[in-house]
Amino acid sequence: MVNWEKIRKEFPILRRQVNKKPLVYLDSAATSQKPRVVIDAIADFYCNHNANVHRAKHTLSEEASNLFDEGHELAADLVNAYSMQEIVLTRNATEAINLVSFGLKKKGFFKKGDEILVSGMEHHANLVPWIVLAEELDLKLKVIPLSSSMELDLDAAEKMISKKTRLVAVSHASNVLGTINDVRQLSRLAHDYGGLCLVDACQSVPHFPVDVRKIGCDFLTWSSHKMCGPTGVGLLWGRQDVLSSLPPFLTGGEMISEVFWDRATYNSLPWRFEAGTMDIAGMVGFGAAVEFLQGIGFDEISKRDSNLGRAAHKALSQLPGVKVLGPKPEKKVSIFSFTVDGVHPHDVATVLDSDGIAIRSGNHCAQPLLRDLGFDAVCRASFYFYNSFDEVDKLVEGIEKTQRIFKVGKK
Amino acid sequence: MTDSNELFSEVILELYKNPQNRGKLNVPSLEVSGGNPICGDKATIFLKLEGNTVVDASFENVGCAISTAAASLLTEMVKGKTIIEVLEITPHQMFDELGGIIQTRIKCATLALVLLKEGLRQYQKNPAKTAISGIRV
Repeated sequence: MVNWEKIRKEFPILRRQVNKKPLVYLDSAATSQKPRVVIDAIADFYCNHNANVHRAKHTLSEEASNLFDEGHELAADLVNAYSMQEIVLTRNATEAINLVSFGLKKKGFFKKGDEILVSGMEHHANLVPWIVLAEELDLKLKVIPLSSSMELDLDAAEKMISKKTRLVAVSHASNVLGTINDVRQLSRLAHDYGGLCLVDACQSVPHFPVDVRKIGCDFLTWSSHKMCGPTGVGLLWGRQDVLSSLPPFLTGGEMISEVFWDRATYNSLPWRFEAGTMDIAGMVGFGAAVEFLQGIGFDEISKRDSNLGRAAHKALSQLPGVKVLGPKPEKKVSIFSFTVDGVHPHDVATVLDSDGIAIRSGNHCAQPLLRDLGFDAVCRASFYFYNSFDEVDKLVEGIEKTQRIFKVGKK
Repeated sequence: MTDSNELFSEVILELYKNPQNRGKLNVPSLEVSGGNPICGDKATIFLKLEGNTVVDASFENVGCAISTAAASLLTEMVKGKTIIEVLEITPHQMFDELGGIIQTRIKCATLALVLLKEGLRQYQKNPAKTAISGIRV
């Protein structure tokens, strides 16, 4: 049995008060909080091992390089990659997707009239790069529709996909609806027609075991900061044969093998895609986060996520005047977008904040999805394993208080 | 059960529920629209001018209680004022009229005012342009 109360205590920020109330942090889908071990690992790196990597022959550089490489190894292990050569460090998942889009374009992967298939629940990060590319290369961007249960309509996807579909780019779990998408099936479909599949796993990797071999996709990206690690670290996994076929994204130091006045040859994977000095301390912190989460166990984290999700779903669904967006709890991660009749989402967030409860309000970087659903903005409460069942109750009390202030919600 | 509510004044709650001057004006002299792309609030202010005096004003918006109440209040405040008088309205006047605004929501309270002032400044420079849009607040 995992002692969740004890684990919660490892997060220093969760001891603070906001507006004289204990912080109830329900915005982990935007960024998670950090445990002491991650903060310490970063401090320890700067206090004891700081040096640039892969260059100097001195002891510190050797230590820093080993820690940096270990971060790549841990990322590879986390998603069951075949090797660390398939793991590229970027600034964030957005940059990782831009790296892929740039590489595919430069390699001449697309020709005029080709199609890219995205889902109807994409975050702007996995949409705007493809909109831009489609404009530039005269490609057609198609969107897999949502069913009434707010899942992807896979029958529709099957009909939309063809030999023209060169890329399927989908999120593993929606940052608005929480919906877990069948990326295995979508990868298979993409491959059946000779295309590639990229999975945005920002909202899945933190919550449950993710295995690139089982999914069968070609690229998978996620970010450190949503899984207890520091900001500034995005991860891209690419299947080695596909990744090695892409030209470099950023060029300069570190990514080269030999440089002459008029030409350069490039380093091996993954360093070819890591130009300049990367966020070394960030990668060390990320490594500590992976070890921390693996120490708890992703199966346990996933169970905790389901339990909190079921409790939150039940509590929110029973509130009069509150609408929860998304599928049944067993088909999603513990992200809850909701509306409160008669109260704007920003006002709900303000009332909750006055009681120390942090939720997000707005369009959640998914404007097309929200527009399709008929909203300008919604509230979002997103849970992580360090949240407690008491905090579900506090969320409910906060919403009820909002309804009292605005004199709405009574049956 | 009552809640101590220092977040939203009675003025804001009342105007949010029953906003004044909401809707388009017939043949407005000036129409100014824009919004805050970060929070998603959007508004359009309509003015009817006679010479330099505002004789009627209205608004349309998508937004929170504070930005809605502020737009309602502002469109009421400007009626009968000259353009110069409207340009002299300060954010603090808005906060006072709204019954106080918490620090984190100041932008909501000034959205309509910022739009209107920017629109009027552009109108002063070029009175031929009577529809001004895309102002980012």
